[in-house]
Amino acid sequence: MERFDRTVATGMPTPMHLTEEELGWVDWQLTLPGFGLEKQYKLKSSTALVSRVGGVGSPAAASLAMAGIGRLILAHGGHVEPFHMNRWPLASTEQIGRVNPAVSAAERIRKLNPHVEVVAVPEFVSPENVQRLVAQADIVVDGAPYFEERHLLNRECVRQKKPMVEAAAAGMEGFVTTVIPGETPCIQCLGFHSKDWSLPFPILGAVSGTVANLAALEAIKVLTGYGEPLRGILLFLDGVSSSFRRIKVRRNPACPVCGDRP
Amino acid sequence: MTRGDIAYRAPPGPLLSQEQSERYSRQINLDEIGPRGQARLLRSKVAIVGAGGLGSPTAIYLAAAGVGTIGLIDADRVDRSNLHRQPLHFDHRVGRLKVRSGSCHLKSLNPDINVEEHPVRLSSENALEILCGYDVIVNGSDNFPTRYLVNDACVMLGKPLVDASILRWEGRLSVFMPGQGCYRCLFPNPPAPGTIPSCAEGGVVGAVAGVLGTMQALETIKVLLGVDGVLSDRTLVMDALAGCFRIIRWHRRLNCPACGEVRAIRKLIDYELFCGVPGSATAAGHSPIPNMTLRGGPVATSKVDAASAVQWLGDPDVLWIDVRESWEFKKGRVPGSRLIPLHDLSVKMDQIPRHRTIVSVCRTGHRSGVAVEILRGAGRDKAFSMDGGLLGWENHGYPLEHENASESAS
Repeated sequence: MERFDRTVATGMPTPMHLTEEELGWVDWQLTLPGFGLEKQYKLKSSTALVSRVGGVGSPAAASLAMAGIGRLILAHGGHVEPFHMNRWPLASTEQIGRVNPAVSAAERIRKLNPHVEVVAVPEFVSPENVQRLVAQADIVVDGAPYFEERHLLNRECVRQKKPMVEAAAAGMEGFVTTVIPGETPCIQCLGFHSKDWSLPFPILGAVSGTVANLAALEAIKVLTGYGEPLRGILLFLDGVSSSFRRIKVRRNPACPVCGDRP
Repeated sequence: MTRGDIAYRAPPGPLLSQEQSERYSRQINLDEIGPRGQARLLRSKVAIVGAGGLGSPTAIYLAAAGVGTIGLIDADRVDRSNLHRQPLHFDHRVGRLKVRSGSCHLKSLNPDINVEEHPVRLSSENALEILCGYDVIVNGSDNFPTRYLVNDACVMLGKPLVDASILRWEGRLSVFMPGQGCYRCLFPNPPAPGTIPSCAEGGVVGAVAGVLGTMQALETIKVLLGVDGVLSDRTLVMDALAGCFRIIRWHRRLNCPACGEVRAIRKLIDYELFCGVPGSATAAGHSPIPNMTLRGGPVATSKVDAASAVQWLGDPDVLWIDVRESWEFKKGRVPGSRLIPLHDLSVKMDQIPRHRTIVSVCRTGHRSGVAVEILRGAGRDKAFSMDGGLLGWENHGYPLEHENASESAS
């Protein structure tokens, strides 16, 4: 492992947490200018909670696993259903009606990268489990279709001061933004409401998958401190024209969740 | 391509089976698709050149959307170092042929589709024969000879080509529709000898390949459906570190040797020779500056690193062009550099002298690489892209010029 020796020689922390096999795994990532072992180690020592491993959550979780995150907690209730299959790249057809989505995604992610610890929580984020789930994570990736669930997670992330990547897709559109409590607007400030999208809204896998990978990139940037996350910026994807818009968003000082006097 | 180009025969009975109606229900209710569009996807055939970082997500999302036949073209076997960016392949399939590994995964995602395995390296001898059976071709190849080969073959066959490339945290995506320009209109010349990409040296992030590969699937689906909004005569450029996307408009070149008025390229050529791959006859280097190797598309021909470039500061023969946006330029730039945002470059070409040495600069070295392609295409042969961009420059502690101190601090 030439790279391994070189970094030891340059006085970097000895990467005791990465085995030689893992180093071979992320070899092409370590050659990124300015990325290197230090950032890789930050990823390795991080835990991400992914709420719902559907069209947005499952590819985001897979990309985080491939990038070498240490631990993933996947929360999703119910079973894999046939109508999920047009946008869930980790589910397989024989699991339909039988297997829980979190279990299905965890199984597939362990095969994608066996060095990642994957915890499958076969339930949706709820008022009962939200505090416990968020407490275990360094970052939260939110891919829930219901805004009640998103607001619940948002309140808990703000309370525990955990960064949260908000990603959603519906129809041919989607958006991504990163919430850093106390610094950026939270999703309450943005004023999203469930009535904006009624289920079952149409959705194309290639749109949710694009948003998902952007969400994974956000999580990687926040966890490693490399690059500029979408702080206070909503990145909108219009899949019809394949164009993006960056929209600046501001904190609401009177926000009941993250405002100055909550 | 119009709707009429894909032969469509109405089947007897319903368009979709009960099972298909259920599986694709969430996309059938999109205005762009509907039952007819879904039936069209199920009848379509798409070839993917390269089952790697870009090809993996493309294949997965085409399979999930129910594109009836997917052809995977790749001669390689799965290597462990592939896995951080190629979700089509799994750890337990290391050592197997990529087309076989990919086919297994796609069939488990969607048994409703057919996967054709082509475990071959695409060449001038087999390209036309393999690609002619498909409606749309997706290019996820990692080398320039294959990129030009696939382009020329698609022009000759009149097939739409969806083409993306990635480098580090960045990438670009275009669609080349027959008659509306091709890859050679955008990048007439391959990168200078010695710059043939090495994936390992440039570095890649899996999720960047994920974004671009998934968007390749999106564009392919739009082309198959015949809807408006396809990225033809436009190029999407992504900078994932900044979370920025830009669209660059371009035009078909009437003098393009592949798709222009007079077509100089009438049969497939030796692309390794054309791209000057070491070992072939044209491989003698001509650039005075040692080139870096890159991965992905022709995002740069010749580069100069910050340590060499800094010695040109103040040299009256050297023209520094900053190709970023004006708001970025105001925050800090190389002293004496001139602002010409990338999207204005072609329009302002007459303001750029032909025989000066030009250093193009952007934030990371990606946009400036695209700029050098454009500059060299317009005969500015001494144009170089500053490797690592302003970030690298700043990292070395080299001088920056600011509009005013308060703005630079923001």
